Amino acid sequence: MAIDPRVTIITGASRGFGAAIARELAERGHQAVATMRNPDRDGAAVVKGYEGNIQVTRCDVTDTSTVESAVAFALERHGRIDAVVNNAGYGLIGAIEELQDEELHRLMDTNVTGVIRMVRAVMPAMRRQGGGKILNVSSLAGRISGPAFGGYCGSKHALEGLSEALRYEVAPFGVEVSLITVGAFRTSIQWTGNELTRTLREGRSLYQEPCEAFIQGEKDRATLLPGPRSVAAVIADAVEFADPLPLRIPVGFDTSRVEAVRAKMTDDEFAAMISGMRNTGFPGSWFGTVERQQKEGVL
Amino acid sequence: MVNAPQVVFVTGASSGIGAAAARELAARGHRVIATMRNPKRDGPAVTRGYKKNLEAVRCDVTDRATVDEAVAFTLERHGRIDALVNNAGYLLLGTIEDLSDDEILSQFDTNVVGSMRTVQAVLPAMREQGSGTIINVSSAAGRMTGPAFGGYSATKYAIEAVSEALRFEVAPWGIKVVIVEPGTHRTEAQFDNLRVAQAVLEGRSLYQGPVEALIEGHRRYAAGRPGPRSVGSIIADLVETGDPLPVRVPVGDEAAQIFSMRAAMTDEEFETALRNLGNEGFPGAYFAAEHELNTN
Repeated sequence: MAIDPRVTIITGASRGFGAAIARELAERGHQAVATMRNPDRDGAAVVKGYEGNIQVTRCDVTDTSTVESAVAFALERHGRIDAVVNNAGYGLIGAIEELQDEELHRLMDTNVTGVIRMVRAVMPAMRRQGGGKILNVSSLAGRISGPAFGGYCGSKHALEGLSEALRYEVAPFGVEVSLITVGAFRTSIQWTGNELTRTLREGRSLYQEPCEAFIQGEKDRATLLPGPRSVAAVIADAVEFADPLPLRIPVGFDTSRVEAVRAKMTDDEFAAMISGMRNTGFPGSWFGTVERQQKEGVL
Repeated sequence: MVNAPQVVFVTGASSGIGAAAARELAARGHRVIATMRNPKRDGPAVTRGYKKNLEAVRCDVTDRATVDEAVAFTLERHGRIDALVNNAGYLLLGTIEDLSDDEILSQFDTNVVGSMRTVQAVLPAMREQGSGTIINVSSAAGRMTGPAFGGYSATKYAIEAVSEALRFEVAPWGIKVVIVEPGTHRTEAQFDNLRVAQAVLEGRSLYQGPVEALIEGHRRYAAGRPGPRSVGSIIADLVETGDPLPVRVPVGDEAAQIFSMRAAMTDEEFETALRNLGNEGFPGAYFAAEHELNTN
């Protein structure tokens, strides 16, 4: 009944989902190459207790040479790569109108092009092996969108589009591609993993109050959410099992619910529901604040 | 509140999903009462490493007295029960025609009535607390079925209905109810604990060939499936989540695929899709052996 040890390379493994994935795979006896931008600073905490199963190496997904050297490191060490988990990514908060070219370029460079760089780097080995798994960590933000989060949602929608194409392209080589649709969890992205657009940082955004309400709402809600362990377990399952991978694997208590709601509604019905939300968190805190500002005559 | 340790009562925790949930909850710092029929034999492996916050306690969900005792023990020990994980159950394979009254009733007694007994036993405490979470472990087989799975699916469809009714009933006291739907996982339920209709064991089933093929195919399939850790982890998430819980939480690739098929298809399209699945497991192996049936 035991599963053969698998070799998996993970991006963005310094903390959050990436670190949890590396540690969950190690716990199950697999080999995990945990990649991160600053292994000297962040590596020891990830490896702790799993010295024989986790190797840390430097990889900045925005830098092709480090992606290639991380893949070379994994191949030299293990002779093969059974799976890659493209997890590196971050959020950007701000209204579309105010997002800067430079902010968008960096966001897409990490969340979208970063994945493609890793795919390019591992495909030769996977093609040689005659198989492999590419697991792209997406989000409900890849299926729905809302105010103040358009940049991030755009990057995750892009990831969904490219993953679906990639699935067709590499299937003939036995390489499987799957999107992990992650719902609401308490990870560092709610605290420090989100970048704020410049106007917002400088306190002069035309959308300052609703954006701040959104950020506060996310922070408040995060305290009610579970940590990343189950996401890691579901991804480790996807690394392990022998069956064909589906295009999408949802994980999270709210993920299937949101997807089911979205699937049942027309675009207009869904938009009406989203705009009608007034609870905290995404996107209700935004609409609640806009409504109040309108009443007060600010907007 | 997520970060405060929760007191969790788990049934069927001797192995598989129950043991995984108990150990995951313990790893996250919660206080866990892992109940099972034979804690002396099965407890040590489950509690190993978590002596401080994970205890194995006797409870046979088919025996109300042991349910009441285990709940009383938990309240005495911890003063409260924040969550109940109704996981005890077993998989019985056999065609509808082959299943005996006793086989059908025994399975209902464990898989359905057993869950209702534990709910009845914990509700007074949860009502007094003004809060609580009841997590009922159903299955992908709670929303689909196939040949030789009818008895098992009947119990899981039943637990889905029980859970939906219970949600309405206990909501006024702040008690949450959620259904967890795992697909096939590599657990003892698929191997040592798998039960097979007596008629098949004795080789006298009119469906012998296809059912044997199904059992073998299902076991081979299950051997390549992931273990129960992800299900245990998602159950722990549900214990911790402060948000309102949805009616259902499917777990993993297989359940998600089945439910998206179900949602997109008519019953007849779904039936055709199942017939054409063509894998070695359920229900492909059964259909592949159907030619062995004597239908003259």
